[in-house]
Amino acid sequence: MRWLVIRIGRSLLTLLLLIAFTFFTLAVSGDPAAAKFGPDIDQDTLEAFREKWGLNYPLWKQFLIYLDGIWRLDFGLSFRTGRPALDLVVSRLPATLSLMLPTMLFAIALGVPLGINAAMHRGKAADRLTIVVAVIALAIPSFLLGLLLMFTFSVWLGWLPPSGIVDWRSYIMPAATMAIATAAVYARFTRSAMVEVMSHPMVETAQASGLPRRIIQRAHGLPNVLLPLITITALEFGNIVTYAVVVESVFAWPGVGRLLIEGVARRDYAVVQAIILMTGTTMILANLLADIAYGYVDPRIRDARRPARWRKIQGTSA
Amino acid sequence: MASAAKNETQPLLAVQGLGVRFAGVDDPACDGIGFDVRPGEILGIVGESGSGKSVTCRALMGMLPETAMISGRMRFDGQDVNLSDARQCARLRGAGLSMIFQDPMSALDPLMTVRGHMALRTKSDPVPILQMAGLAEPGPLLGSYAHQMSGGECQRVAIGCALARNPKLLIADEPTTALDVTVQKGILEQIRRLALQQGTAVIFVTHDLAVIYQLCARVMVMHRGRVVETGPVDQVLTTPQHAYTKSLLAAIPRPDQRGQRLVLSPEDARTSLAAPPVVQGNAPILRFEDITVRYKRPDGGTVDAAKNVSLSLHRGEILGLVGESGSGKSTVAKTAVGLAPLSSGEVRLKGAPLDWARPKMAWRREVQYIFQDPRGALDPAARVLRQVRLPLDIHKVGTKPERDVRARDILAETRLDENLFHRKPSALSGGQRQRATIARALALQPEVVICDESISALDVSIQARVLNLLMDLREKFGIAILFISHDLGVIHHLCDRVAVMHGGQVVEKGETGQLFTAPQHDYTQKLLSAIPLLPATAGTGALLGELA
Repeated sequence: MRWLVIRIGRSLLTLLLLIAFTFFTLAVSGDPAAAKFGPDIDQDTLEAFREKWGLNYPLWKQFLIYLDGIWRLDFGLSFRTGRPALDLVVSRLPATLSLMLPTMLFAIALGVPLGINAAMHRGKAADRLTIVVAVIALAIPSFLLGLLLMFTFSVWLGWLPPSGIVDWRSYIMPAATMAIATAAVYARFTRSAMVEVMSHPMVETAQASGLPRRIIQRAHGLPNVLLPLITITALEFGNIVTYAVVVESVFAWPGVGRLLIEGVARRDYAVVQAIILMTGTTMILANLLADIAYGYVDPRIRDARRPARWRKIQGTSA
Repeated sequence: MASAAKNETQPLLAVQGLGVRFAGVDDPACDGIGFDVRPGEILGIVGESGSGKSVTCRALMGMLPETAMISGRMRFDGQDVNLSDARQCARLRGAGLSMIFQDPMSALDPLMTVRGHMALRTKSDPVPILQMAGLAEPGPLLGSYAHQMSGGECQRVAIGCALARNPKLLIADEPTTALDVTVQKGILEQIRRLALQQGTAVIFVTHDLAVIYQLCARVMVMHRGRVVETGPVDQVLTTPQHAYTKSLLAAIPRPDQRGQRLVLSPEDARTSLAAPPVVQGNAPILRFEDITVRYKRPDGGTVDAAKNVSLSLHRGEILGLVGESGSGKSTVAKTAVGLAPLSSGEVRLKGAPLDWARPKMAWRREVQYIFQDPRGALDPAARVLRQVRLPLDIHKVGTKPERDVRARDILAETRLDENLFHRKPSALSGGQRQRATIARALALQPEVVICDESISALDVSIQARVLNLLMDLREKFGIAILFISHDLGVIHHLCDRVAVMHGGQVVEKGETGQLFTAPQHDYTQKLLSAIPLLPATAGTGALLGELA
């Protein structure tokens, strides 16, 4: 438990750093008043705008006010629309989440078996093919892949709606665009993890006592591969947000990614900050969950976190 | 061991003409290997690294990599098996042949309990199988993971895994090399019991002739992929026929050779050492005064890796430090070079306390440390000469050409071949690498050299050369050596005085001869009784006589 308290404390500290970082970088990057009204506005209107939004306070005071707001889940008002930033973001969340969830599931369902299969046929055709395809899938920029899919399935074949959310078929192309690159990461990672696990001496012990390869893979291989997969999943949550920004633009998806781009373009501080904080929190949470999950999967880590019990390793020869 | 009646039974395993080549390697890893094993018999296979003993075993198991080209046949339990067909061999694994390996800690799945390991292999109750493997009380261990057990327990569980399907032949590839002698003793006894009571045939692979002598009835000596000698253990060890067997025996320090050079070649015999001039009585050069090293445990408690240890080392003296793994030998030694933090007490060099919080360059010059693994201790990207010159460069000794000459001289002193000076460590063998690290440690002409298991990983013939080298250097330069080892034979051979450590404390210290003949402390007695010994007559004068 002591471990968990420290770990959560560390997460909160990371979050505070994230808030400070987003606040100050955005604050020094330009004047939202000038961005809203353009260069031809008179000084009085500008001052009035700054006063209204608290932009005339010193930076540290603005930051404290901002922190206080976040504490009460008030991320400020959007300069552009005048609505609370949080409401704007929340209204876009379902579209993005409903895209991310199938993407993650699809990527894991495709990438992990491919990686395992490649590792099992190391050096053979199946392995080389997987590696080559994975490299290509990773190398293609997601906007290009999205456009290619769109031309193929919407323009040529006319099977799928090209953009926006029309019906369930609308999800296929954006989810596939994101999932292909993510699956490639999973495939490569799973492959190398599996190759490593299968070269562990425990595999020789298992072989020597007569276990068939299939059982060794299932009983020793998969659980040990799971550990690095937990790590990569936590990291991929961050990557998938960057994909979402691009893919949502390509497919005119009414999600958070597009809101972020609009927000950045118009210097809509509150909205951008809210989105960055939200994705940042997701990342921090995902990593926290991954760390907790480690304790369940790996008995070594479980023991290291357990305070009272300390088994003497040396000198307990039977 | 095996009774006369058993000797007349049909062999369980008969191997004929086993040859193994690896793609891209000119010399065969194995060539024309043939032997047989009867039920209940323990056959020892002995040889140095690269002699092909492990490759032979793996070939029988069908567990060589796919790049291996295998030829030969074996007859196992009435079945003819073509060894070039790994799948045929694989079918025999488990209930026919089974194998255990060197490193017990990594033999088990870190994420799986003992019960899980056993359940994978057999549906029957794991308790009697684990008892047969030497775990007296397996019950409480069933829910344990590898990291929660000792090395000895892990190896016994691995043996249990190997026995789960009741194999007729157990191949043990250096199963006790990574374990302490007292643990080794128990495992050897268990293997002997297995052969006697269950009638399991055993092939026991090791580089340690004494272990073979304790355990086996017959021994097969391998060298460069060939069998050089096979026969009853007594006969092979006392009257070896082949020159290689003789040299192998000559490389092992015998009790009656204490303090003498080991005779490996005619040259060694001619330059026999005079008794080393040990300067005692005057002030010690290095002194550990009541030192304690306390570490924090992850849960916030503390553990004393070394506790109230006092030792002194005199000029020209070799002090042995023995004990099992985790006894604190290295911890004590590392306090002298600032690699382990002192919690209390003092380390004094020529009377002046060493405070590694404010280190002085001179201390580093005067105390040098040689580690166990020379591969890890050398920079893989730098040429040998440069690495030996580096300490001279750092301490700005003389001019650059002078340093070069000095590095060359010291390398020559370790008898490293001159054309290796400009090679990188990867081009050197284990023994050559260790010579390079010894040269590097000696380049600054230190007063004290600490050898931390520095020869443990080397083959006996190379080990013997390094032992000779250390004795030569002591005689020549009068350096003091703190020699850490778990090999009591080597300690007995080399050291003037010995300190025995157990649980972070020095339990006994004294003059070597006295300590070995009349150990006072219970632990020392236990340790001494656990070392496998060669017969007193083993290889006596075998080589000397020939060379005279």
